[in-house]
This record gives sequence, structure tokens and C-alpha cells, in this order.
Amino acid sequence: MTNLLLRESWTFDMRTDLLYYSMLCTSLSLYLLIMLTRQIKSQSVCSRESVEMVKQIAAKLNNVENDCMMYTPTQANYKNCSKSTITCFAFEVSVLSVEIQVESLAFRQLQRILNRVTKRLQDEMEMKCPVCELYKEESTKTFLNTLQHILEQMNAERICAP
Amino acid sequence: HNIARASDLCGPPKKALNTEPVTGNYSLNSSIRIQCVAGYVRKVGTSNLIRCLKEHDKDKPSWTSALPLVCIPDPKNKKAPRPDHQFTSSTTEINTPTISGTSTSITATGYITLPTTTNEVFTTKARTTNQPTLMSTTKEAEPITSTNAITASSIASSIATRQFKSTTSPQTQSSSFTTTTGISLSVKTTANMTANSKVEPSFARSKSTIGGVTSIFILCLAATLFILWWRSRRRDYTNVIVLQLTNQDAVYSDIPVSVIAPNPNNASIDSTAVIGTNHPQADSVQDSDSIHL
Repeated sequence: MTNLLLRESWTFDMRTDLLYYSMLCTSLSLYLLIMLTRQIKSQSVCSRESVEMVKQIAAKLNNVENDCMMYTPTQANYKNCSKSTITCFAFEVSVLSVEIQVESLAFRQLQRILNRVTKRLQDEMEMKCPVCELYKEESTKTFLNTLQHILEQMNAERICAP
Repeated sequence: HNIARASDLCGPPKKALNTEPVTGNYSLNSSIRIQCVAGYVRKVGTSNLIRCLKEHDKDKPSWTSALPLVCIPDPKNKKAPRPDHQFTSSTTEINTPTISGTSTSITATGYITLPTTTNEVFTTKARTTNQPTLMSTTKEAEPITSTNAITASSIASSIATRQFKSTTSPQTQSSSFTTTTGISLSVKTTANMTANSKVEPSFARSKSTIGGVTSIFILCLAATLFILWWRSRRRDYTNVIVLQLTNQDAVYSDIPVSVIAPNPNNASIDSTAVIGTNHPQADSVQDSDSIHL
């Protein structure tokens, strides 16, 4: 009689353990899935550090005389053609870095970030987005200022992970 | 002193397609900006700034640019002439075979050379414009000849040949034909760019999806391994408990053995009982003796 009681207890414990492990596994998987999705979605477009890089570049260029003129989209262009707008900025940033010839890590990092962001964005009116050459050529100061505002707007629109 | 100066000077830079010519000599480390001709603009991602620099493996300085200037037709001019577009459409219908040939050539040369091809065609257009002066002045032949030379050196020589044939037609028709071909090339270029832009987002999406799925799979695998490890550890602990219970059973089994086996214990118990029984009998005997007395 005593042995039977012990065995029954043992069987009950196995069932409890299996149920416990299943629940644990499920909850853990769901948690990881949610966190991963949130992280990918937020970090794919957000670029908080890019704003700081633009500010650094602008500060350096304030001390350098230059007559560079860059195709500069506006914030209104970004609203409907975000991908093509950022693409234009990426192209012109590379031109700016070549013409200014200022040794700065910020330029390379900014280009990399803009290229990465471009791959994640989608234009709402893809077929109707203007080519870069249609935008007005502006001075370096205006170009960087506009880029900074657009990046800030982009970060504000997307929910950036802390 | 003059020799030293000459060795540190750059001559006029080589003229690129659809750019304004630049004359004069420039000193070492100087820089100038090249301008596109009217109707053309700087292509995005290219720089119109060139510098006079001396490379290590060369004795004389030369003009250099990390992002060489490329001049393309001004897109603003393309949007405006809608009537011309209609005219072009009608012309296209008449000259379909030639346009088909042109398309084939474009496809063969590939995407990279398309801008150059487009520029070549527009160069030919310029030559057509100069045709009237060719009849009146012999000197004009030289620029046209140089243009042909440039055209011949490029991959699009077959297209240029076709253009040359078209110029033998009446001036009006040849002009319209040239315009037609130019616009067709532009449209073709735009189509290719659009196709490329469409392909890239889907590739980016699939890449992102694959990365995400891979990450999730790895994390789930890690979680599973952790759970299995924890379970095995818990099982070991359970086995320890079972062993303890087994020991308790062994202790319990000793008691029945003591009850069954020890005959000497039973004997001692019987002797005790006998002693108890004898004692009452002795008491009864003493009572009877006292009564008789």
C-alpha cells in the first residue's frame, strides 16, 4: 500500500512538471518574439546618432570656407517621397565629403547610416517621386540644416527603442 | 625658374562631355569648378570640382577628381514640352524599325553605359544643328570630324552610324528623328532606373525577414537548451529523494524481521509469564495454612 502511494505521487509530479515546462517555454518564446520584433522595427529606421553627426559636420564646416552647392530636397518632399529624399541626401553627402576634404569619421558614419535607412524606407508615391536633379541646389549650411530637420522628424515619427 | 614654374602648373583640363571648356594654366593645389553646358545639369553623386595635384608616380601635376563630373540633360526641360512628346509619338510610329534597333543596342550595352549612350545621341543632335553651316564654311568640318572621332571610340558607334544615316534625310525630318531617338533613350533609362528601384526594396525586405527569422530561431534554440538543462538538473534532485525513500523502506522492513525471527525473545516472554503464574499459587497455599491453624 505504501509503495503504491509513492508511485502515484511520482506520476502526479511528472505531469505537473510537464505542464510547468510547457507554460514556461511558451511564455518565454512569446516574450523573445515580441522583444525581437520591436527591436528590429524600431532600430531599422531610427538613427538618433545621425542627428549628432550632422551637427558635428556643420560645426566643422562653419570654420571652413566653401562654395559647394548641393541638391537639397525639402521637408515637404520627405513627406511623400521619404526613400528617394534620403537617397538624394546620401549621394550629396558623399560629394560634400569629397569636396570639403575634411578628415572626419562622422562623414563616413553618416553615409553608412543614410544608406541603411534608405533600404528600410518606402515611398508612398514611388512612381511620381522626382529625381534628385530636380531639387534646387543650396549652400552647405542650408543642406545640412535641412538634413538635420528631416532626420529629427524621422526619429520623431518612428518609435525609437530606448 | 620658368622650368620650375612649368613643372608645377596644370594645363587646361580635359573637356568632358557636355561641359564648358576651360582654358589657361593653373598652379599646383589649385581647384576649379567645371560647368555643364546649357540644358544639362550635374548628375547627383558627382562633383564638378577638380584639383591640380601631383601624384607620387608622376612628374607633372594633373587634374584629379574623386567623383568625376557627369552632365545629364536637365530633367526640368523634359517635363515642359508635352506637345513635343505628342509629335515624337507620331514620329515613332513612322520609324519603328530604327527605334527597335536602337533599343536592342541599348540592351546590349547594359545599364552602366546608358547615360553615355544618351549623351552620345544628344551630341549627334548638336551635329545635326550644325549641318547648315557645314555647307557654307569648310572650317566647320573639323569640329564635326572630332565629334565623329569621339563617337567612333564609344560603344554606341552603331547608334551613331544610324544617326549619321538619318542626317542624309531632309533637315526637318532628321531633326525630328533625332529628337525622337533622344527621348526614347531617356524613357528607356528611366524605365531601367525604376526597375532597379523596385527590385531593391523587395531584396531589403527579404534580407530583413531572413535576419529576423534566424535571430528568432537562435533564441528559441537557446531557450530550449536551457530548459532541457534545467530539467535534467531537476531530475537528478528527484532521484536523490527517491533514494532517501528507499532507505526509509529498508528501516521499516527490519521491524517485521524482529517480530518473526527472535524465538529467544519469545522464550523470555514465556518465562516471565510462568513466573507471574507461580506467584499467585504460592499466595493461595499460605492462606490455607493460616486457616487450619
